[in-house]
Amino acid sequence: MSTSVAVASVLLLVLLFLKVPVFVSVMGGSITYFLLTPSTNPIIFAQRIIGGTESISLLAIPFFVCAGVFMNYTGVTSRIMNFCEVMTGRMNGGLAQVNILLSTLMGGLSGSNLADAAMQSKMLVPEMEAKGYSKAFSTVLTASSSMITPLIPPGIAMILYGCIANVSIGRLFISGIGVGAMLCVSQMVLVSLISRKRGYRPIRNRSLSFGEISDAVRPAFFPLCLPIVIIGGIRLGVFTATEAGSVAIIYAILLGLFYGEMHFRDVKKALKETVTTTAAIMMIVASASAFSWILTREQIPQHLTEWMVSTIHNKYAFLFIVNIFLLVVGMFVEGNASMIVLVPLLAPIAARYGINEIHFAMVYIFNNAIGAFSPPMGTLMFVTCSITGCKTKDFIKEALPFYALLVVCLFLLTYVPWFTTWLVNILY
Amino acid sequence: MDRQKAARLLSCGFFTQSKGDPYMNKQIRSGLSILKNLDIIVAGLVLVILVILTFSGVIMRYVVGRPYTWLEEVQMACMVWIVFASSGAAFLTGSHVAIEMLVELLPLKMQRIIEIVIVCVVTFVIAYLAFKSVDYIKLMLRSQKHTSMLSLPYSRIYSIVPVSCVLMLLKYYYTLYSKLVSSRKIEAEVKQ
Repeated sequence: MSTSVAVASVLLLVLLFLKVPVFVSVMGGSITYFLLTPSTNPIIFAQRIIGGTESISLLAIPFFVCAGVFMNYTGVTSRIMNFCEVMTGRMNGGLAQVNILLSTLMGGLSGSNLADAAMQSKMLVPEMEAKGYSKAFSTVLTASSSMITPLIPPGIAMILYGCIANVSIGRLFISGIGVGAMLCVSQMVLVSLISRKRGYRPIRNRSLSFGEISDAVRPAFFPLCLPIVIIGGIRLGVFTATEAGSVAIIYAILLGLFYGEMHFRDVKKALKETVTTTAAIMMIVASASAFSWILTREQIPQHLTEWMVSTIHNKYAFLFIVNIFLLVVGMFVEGNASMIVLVPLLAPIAARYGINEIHFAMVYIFNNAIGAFSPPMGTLMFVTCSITGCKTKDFIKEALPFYALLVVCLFLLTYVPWFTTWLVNILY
Repeated sequence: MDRQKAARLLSCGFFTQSKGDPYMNKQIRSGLSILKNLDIIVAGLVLVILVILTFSGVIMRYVVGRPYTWLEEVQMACMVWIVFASSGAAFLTGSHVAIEMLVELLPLKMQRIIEIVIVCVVTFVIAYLAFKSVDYIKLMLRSQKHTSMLSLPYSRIYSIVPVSCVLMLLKYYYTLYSKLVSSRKIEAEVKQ
């Protein structure tokens, strides 16, 4: 490894912590390398940056961002929330359960955890506080339930991972359902235990008639079909994962027209939101692809693989170390950027140990999701706390049982591949 | 025209909201608003085209059985345009993420110094990208490279990149400027 890579990497990290926008820090690191290595042609820098955006699979990112934003403007959210209230009404901690189920179901409509966290902090947290839940608990729950959203297909992290590591995005989507469902159920159990202890009541005590249930299910039926349309279409070979994004947008627009709740003004707003979000994600992707070109040129993945395989002889030990490493990285570095740099390093090693590629992908993506939740740099924590006005100190204190749960889930997921592969095995 | 009026007229330009200003008539105002948001409008239109093309591509292939042969290269070009056309506006909407936690723990004086360092780094990095992308476009022009099916010249597809760099810097400085103005205002109010 030459010194210029080391200098570039250190500078990248320093800039990252100095509040420089993430994509500028990564570009800064790459530029340092080009300046320090006269044998490289700096035009490659521009070529890699532009080339980083030119990928057919990554088109899925603007598509699914757009579909999610449109869904928000079609009035679908409140329909699904009603549905959740009916489904979880008799459980302990009624509204808290609604919060979790809503995140899970919204995961099928949009792939962004931040959008989900922001929406629920505005809609559900005030209502929860009014019903006697503490502010910190409501905020923590909103942040932790939002982790489920990107795991349920479509999810941006899965698209990105599939692109980088050349893994089937369709299979990742299907595997995500199992993992998302596992996280949903385990959080529901935890909330139910906490609620029983603190006396958070169910929403209602009587069981509902069939008519009342069907009244709640019918309005939410078509929106909830979207994930089935996407997965079914990909599985049957009607469209690719990328094209599924455009199908999802058309579906959202049809729903908007059908419910009559979308206006031209909303369309303009939604388009603006989509392009700026896309630009923010893709600039990071582009800059990271320049940096990962540097790592490849210096043959760092190969060196790392050799070193890893010669020092660690056991795949379980490898997975353990990867988990600890990713948890620490996730605390400090934004998920998409770290993914583009780290996946090309780690995925080949995992393959050398004979770990199933889908399994390793889901372990990685789950780690990424935890990173967004954990202090000091958790984006989910920032978004929810800034909207609800919860103090970071209270957040961290209240989040401890959730961290414990997440780590248990992570290790279950890591060492029991069944969780990630059973659905894929059934459907493929 | 006195100085105040002139200042107000000038300030109605690229950078400020001109709503409710009696010195501007409606047409100029809407013209300016289009100019100000031109990047977003372009990106939005390209996105609409991209969605329509991709969706109709599915229908052409699966239902009609005559897939577009040129779809991929147009999709790539659209993606480049969407990302680079709107990355300037993403500064205005605050969509570009940065890690703020550590800096906010430092004393105020240090924070000021770091702010200046950040501005220099952002300027240098984006300017570097601008110059290198111009070099890259020149290379494309010299080698006459174009896409294989529709013969779209790459130099034209990539021409958005240096433009985007200029826009990013302009909008980045504008967000800094408006932050400065609002913090001055707050300071003045506190003093009163």
